[in-house]
Amino acid sequence: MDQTVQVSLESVTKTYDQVIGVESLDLRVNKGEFFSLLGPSGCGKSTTLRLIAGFEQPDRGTVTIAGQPMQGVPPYKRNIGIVFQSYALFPHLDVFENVAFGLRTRRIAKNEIRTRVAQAIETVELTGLEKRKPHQLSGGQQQRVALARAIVIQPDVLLLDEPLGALDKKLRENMQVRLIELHRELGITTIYVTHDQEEALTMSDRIAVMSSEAHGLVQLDTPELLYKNPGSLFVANFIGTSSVIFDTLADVSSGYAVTDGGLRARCPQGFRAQRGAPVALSVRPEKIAIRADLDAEPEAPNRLRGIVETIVFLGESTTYLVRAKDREFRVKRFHDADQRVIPEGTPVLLSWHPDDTSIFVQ
Amino acid sequence: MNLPKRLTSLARGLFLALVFLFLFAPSVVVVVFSFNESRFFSLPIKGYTFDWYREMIHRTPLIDATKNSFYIATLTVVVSVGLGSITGVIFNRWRANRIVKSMISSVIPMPLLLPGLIWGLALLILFSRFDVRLSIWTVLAAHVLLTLPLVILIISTRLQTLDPAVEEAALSLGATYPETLYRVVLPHIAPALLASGLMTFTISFNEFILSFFLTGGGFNTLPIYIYSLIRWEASPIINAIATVMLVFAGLLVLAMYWIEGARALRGISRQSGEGDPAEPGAPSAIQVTQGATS
Repeated sequence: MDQTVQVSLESVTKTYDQVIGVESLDLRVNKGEFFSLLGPSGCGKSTTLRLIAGFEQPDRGTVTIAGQPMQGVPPYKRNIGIVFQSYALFPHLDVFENVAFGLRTRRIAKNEIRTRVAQAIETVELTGLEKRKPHQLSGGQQQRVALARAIVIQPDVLLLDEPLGALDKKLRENMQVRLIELHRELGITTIYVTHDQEEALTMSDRIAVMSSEAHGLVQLDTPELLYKNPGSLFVANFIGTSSVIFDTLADVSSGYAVTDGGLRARCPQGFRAQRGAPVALSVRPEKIAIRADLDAEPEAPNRLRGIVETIVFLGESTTYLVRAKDREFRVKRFHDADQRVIPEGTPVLLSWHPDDTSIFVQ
Repeated sequence: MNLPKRLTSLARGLFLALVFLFLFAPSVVVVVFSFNESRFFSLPIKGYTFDWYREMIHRTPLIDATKNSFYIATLTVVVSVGLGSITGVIFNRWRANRIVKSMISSVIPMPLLLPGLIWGLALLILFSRFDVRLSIWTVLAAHVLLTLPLVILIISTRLQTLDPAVEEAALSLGATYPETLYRVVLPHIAPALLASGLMTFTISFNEFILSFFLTGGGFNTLPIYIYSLIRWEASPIINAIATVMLVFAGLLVLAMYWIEGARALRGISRQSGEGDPAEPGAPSAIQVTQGATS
């Protein structure tokens, strides 16, 4: 993939009436990338989007799109396509005119408008509905009109503001796949704002996780690395699910940390903490082994006994909620042919590998 | 159908008939008497004639007063709808404190809440204090004062039904602010413009009290002329005038239905008609009827 930077924010700060939107945010989105801004509400992801779109100007810092500094450049002079959460279609215009809007403002010749609009409408599979008004379309169709309207102008960057939020689950999953395909096909640099971690993990090349405490970036990585190596407890909890154990640090040796509770975890690069420091350990549900045999694997470094409290049968797997050390552990076990579901109330042994354990200093 | 059910449906029909009779009987009387041969409002009617209509169109002061009323009403529409829509757009976009904004919008209809008599007097005092000569322009000012709040309310209510993201979408697609106004906001508020224009016209055309205070005796509007007719000669041409105004109002209502119908055929009406503060045809009809029979 081409690694030139298409959109960059450098130490951007934006405050609304003493409410912080984002604080000294640095981002670099590569050309052609599918980039997600992921975080809970109030983390500044929408502010970031509005700053890129030009609806807001930063108090400090610079926004650059396609190599051009955007200081003082109004939205209509930036070449951007936006799909709004509410779709924001023009209610008085039909599908064709909605899609053609951005071409008409660009004073493009009528013939070209006709072919480009037809092409965009075909891309989102709405051919035949050109004469419909927005209120005559379903939510999913309106969404695709909004998408066609944004891509037909061949934008430098496509901004998607929680575009799937209003759709039902089936349609949403369908649209996720379509968006990925479309992105591959067109290669438009795409910035996707969402609070849905699953959506971000499925679709993105890279994800910027934002938090409301930081008013900005917490961690920026590929979905895989975010999942495997969360840089903080916030990320570990926000991306996927984790079981968390709070403990204090006893020792660090040859790259592994040992806690006073006798648990082991591999230290991340640059891990530094005092003996006795409070730490949090987190493990992914699918990395924990669960056994009814309480004496299995006596040598395993991380062993805990507990009792199965709840079973959630998910078809291809079962999630067990196990109470151990007064905490709830989430364990996910995929079904093998010979394995039976362990019934509720059974005493079980949990074990997991230190390499699958993340450790964070509190 | 059993008897009690029949009785209730009969009672319902009777009730509606009585209400409609109450509503429309005065108009029917006016129309009938406009063709009455006798000079006096008395039954039974002796014969039919078009004399009063003939007399009506030969009365130059009446024609002049009608022209004045048309002129003032048209100007009022232009000024009120123009100012009102600009005010509505600016007010709607104004990012002020929510409480301050709602307080202001509840004060806007103030001119409608006080009797016209008080406004007439207040304006008269104000104009004479600043040595403004009473003319068509002072009447226009008063009519704008009376109708502007309505226009602002109707248009800003309509504007609130436009998702702010729609304007942002236009901007992001390369439309400048004026272009966005023209291509997105204006089409959205068009029905409200039409409705408030019609209301403004009928209010101004029928307005009596403010005009009475502010014409200054130099000229007449139609309602003032009708008033003087009632006072000085009680001629049956009043009935003829009222009938013409009724027909005019009826035509306006028909035109509104025609426009609405055409829009419905094109499939806009459903959406854009929703949340319309004023059903365009109805209020104008009521206004005209009131003016004509008073």
